[in-house]
Amino acid sequence: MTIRCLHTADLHLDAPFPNWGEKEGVRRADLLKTFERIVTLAIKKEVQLLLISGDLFDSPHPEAATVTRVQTELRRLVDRGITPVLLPGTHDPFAPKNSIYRRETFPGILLSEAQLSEPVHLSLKGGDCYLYGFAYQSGKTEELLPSMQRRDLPGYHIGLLHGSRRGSPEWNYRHKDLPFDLADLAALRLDYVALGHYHTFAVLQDESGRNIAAYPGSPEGKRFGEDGPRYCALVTLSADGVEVEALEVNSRTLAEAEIDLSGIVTLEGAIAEIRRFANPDLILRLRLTGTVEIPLSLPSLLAACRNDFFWLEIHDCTRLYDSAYARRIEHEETVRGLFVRRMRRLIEESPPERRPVVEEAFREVLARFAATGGER
Amino acid sequence: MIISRIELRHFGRFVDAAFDFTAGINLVTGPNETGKSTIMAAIPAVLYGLRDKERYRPWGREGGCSATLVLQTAKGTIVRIEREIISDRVTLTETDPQGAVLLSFEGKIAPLGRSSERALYLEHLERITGHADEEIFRASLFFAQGSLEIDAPGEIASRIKTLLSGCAEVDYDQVLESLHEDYFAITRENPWGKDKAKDRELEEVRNRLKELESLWNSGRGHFAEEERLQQKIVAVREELTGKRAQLAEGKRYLEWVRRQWQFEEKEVSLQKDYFRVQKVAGKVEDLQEELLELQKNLTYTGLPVEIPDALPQLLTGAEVIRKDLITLQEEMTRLRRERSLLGEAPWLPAVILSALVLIGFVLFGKGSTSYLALGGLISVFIWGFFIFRLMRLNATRAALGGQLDQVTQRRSEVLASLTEIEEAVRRLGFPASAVEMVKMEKSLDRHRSLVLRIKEIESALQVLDHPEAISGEEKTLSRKMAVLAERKEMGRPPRAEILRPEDLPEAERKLSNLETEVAAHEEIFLELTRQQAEVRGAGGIDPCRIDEERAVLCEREISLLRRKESLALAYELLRGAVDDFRHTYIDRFSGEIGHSLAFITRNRYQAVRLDENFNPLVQVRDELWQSVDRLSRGAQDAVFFAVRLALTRHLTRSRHLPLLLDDPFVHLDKGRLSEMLKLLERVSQEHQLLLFSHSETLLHRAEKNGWSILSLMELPVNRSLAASTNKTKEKEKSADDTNQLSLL
Repeated sequence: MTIRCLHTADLHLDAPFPNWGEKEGVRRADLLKTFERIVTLAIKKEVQLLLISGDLFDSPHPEAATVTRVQTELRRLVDRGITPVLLPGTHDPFAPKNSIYRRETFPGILLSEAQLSEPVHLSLKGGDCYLYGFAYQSGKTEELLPSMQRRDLPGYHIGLLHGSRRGSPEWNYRHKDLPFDLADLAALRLDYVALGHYHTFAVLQDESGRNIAAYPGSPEGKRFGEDGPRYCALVTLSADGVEVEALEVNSRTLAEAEIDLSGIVTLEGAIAEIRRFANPDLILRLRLTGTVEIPLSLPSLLAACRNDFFWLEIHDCTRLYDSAYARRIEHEETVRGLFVRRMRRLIEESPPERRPVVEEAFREVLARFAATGGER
Repeated sequence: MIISRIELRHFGRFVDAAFDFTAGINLVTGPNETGKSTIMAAIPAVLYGLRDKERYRPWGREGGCSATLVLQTAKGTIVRIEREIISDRVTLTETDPQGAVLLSFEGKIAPLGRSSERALYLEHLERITGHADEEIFRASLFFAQGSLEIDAPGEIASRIKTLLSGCAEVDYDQVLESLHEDYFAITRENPWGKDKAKDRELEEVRNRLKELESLWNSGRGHFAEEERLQQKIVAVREELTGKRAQLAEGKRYLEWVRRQWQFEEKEVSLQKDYFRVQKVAGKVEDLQEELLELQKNLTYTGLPVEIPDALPQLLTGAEVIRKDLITLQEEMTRLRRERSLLGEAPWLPAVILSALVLIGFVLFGKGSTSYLALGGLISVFIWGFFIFRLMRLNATRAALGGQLDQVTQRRSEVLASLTEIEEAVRRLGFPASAVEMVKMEKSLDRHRSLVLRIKEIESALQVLDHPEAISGEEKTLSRKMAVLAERKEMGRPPRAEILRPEDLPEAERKLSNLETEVAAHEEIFLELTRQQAEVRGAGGIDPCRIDEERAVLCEREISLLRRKESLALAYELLRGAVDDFRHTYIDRFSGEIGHSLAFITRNRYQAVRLDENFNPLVQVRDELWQSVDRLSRGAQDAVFFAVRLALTRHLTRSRHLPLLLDDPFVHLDKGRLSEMLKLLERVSQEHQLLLFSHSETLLHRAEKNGWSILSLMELPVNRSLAASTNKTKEKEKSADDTNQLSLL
């Protein structure tokens, strides 16, 4: 018997996007759209299970409309014989009294036990399948992991776990909730562990190179760093082992790019360079580098390019102080000439780690001098 | 240095035009839209190039758009700079008065950029003009419309600041102010003075972080408390669930027991009824069976149920007769046997015996007649006996015969009466054969008893219920019993033993105790959940959300701190530059202004001092310095002009460059204008002036004072202007040139 699951996690429905203004609503709608896409994909791929390994919602009390949408979508799966399996995560824990998982029922199976006593049994395609998982509770962690040890029963044994793997690149900056090692996972001897919490797609293998678990990553990028295509995992369990395939599901793409604006002499030139990335669905964080020949005013740049992107952030790391422009005005017997001379001295005296600040100060002043006057 | 010629090819409205200028004042005049500003724009266009290359490119015309500037330097060399506007190709040649080429440069010099060609070109330009920046050009040599009009107090100071900043429009104060503003949008901390009263973003972020910290800490406390309560609640809930189940089970059990009792009572009564009915049914059945048997036996008697009254008598009579008949028959048989037993007289023995006696006596007496006589006597004796016997036998036979006849007689009589009876019987409709009659006679008693019994049974059955009714009742009862049995089984607790009624009070007491316990637990449970809700309400936080917010805020804090630092640094550096500038240049600059002022006011005012804020103070008398605001309008204009002049020289390293004036006195009244023109005429001794104006007054003045006049009105727009209508006389021109040169 072969069974197929679609595995996702960390959707963070209803996540806030502070300072995003009117785009916040659109971004939230994107998250729901992505969830719907995943459900449709589960139907299209004719899977038996949709595994959601935590953080479906960004908080334990999402908005009613969102919950209704989710229920409708899950019902759509159940109607087609697909079983959704939900595990509360760190963002949508089961523990609080007003947790959505306590107030509402969701079609499918909810692994809400704080401590796993017995796995949930399912009959799939005439065979047996056992689901292991416990709801996250802050403060309770490692000691619960051994409860997911495979029971000695015939069939497939699938675990759902919302936690942090030591040794992952995300270990250093994500919360170390429910930490575990690859060896801990392997010791459970489950056929597959559907992980959640870390936002990057990763398939984990044991020492013999067998696939034992995967992080599907966030299906829709929430913050910069979750760039590029985002996935959910199509998992096929068979007698030969576990196959994991990444399927792209994101609605919009986050990207971080760097543009070298060296030799750019006008604001228009810089705008044209930025517009080369133009894409109304792109959420872009742009780092401007290089030595520019004009003090760039960030507000002007943003105002000119903002509408070419869904969202644009610009970090100006350009160098102006060694531009020909700066060298030219350096000799002037004007305030700005004097300023450039003083600044140059300061930059040369500054330790490397302070230089960016000094250069920013330099840009700030010259951009202000140029903002309304001079440049025509 | 003067601009001696401007040549324009396909530049703006000019197809191919050249304009010559002289030292001193050159008035370019003409109504609007005749090309004054185009000529003026051509000068920086040649020197620095145009960013908007289409601006002066004529519509739909072929041929390169280019402009040429011919400069005559103070050293007497001629510099010719030609620029193709579109391609930015620049040719610069410098020749000495004799025409020998001193420098020839050619290259692509874009308005901005950092090519080495450009750097070289700008180096040449700086050497020739003292500056190499379009902004400086605009800030110093170029006098825009109204730029010499000072109308508000303090305006001069602000203009000075702008000019000293090196910009045409923004002064360092504005920049400092905007840095200040941006800085204080971030924080209330003021490193240069008193802190601002209201919190700014950085403080808000930090406060929020602190708030989050304390929330998190209290959240941890709450979490522990909540956890403790949760555990208690779980324990109490479990106990409560157990107790409730027990209670419910107990209640169910008692109810069941009570019902069971009722059932049992009912069952007993039903059973009683059933047994009774069954008994009756058995009886009825027995009777019916007996009845059937009796009826069957009755048919065997061959008698009908109802017998005619005569029959028994007849039959009895027949029986008596039959008995008589039998007696008679027996009598007859006995008589006949007796008669047969009488037999014949025994003559054969008598013969044999007499023969034997005779023979014996013959033999014994050996023929003796004695013996023969004895023998003969004895034989006579034998024969006598024989005859006696024979006679007696006959008598007996006769007697017997008589008796027999009598008996026969009687038998016939009896037979006759029997026949009579048979006849009577036949008449009654019964078979009258002897056998049947004997049978009937014999059955008669039995029949009677049978009929009697049947009657008895029938009357008994009449008293008892009808069998159908009985079986109906029986069915009903057994159904009721089955239902009852079923109901009894229903709801039977798993290990149910029926309670003995005497144990009931004890059970009820236990149950009510349990009930009290459940109620108490429920109260505890409610109290605990209330406490938990309270703890949650007080906590109301989600550690994960806090962490997340904290991460975002920390990131924001870092970026704010960085920006704060860079803005503060920017502010300080600029501030420092301004102070530095003041210290370094203010005295020199004041001197330059004073010098210019003395020159243009013919020494009426000779000294100018700038205060900390660049407000000029003018020395009106010894030791008397007066703020420029308190001087006359004319004096104020003069001071400002002196400032512009001094600044121009300052920025161009003391070169006396041509000044371009675009109708700078448009709004001046007649008196002020007149003063200003006097002032200009004085300036023109040191600087070439290109004055662009459509003012009639200026034209009159030019004509009166012999300025060089370039009247665009008279120029056919699209034709060569090689031969310009320069009215100035050659002589004057050369004289002026010399004059100017000497001044330079």
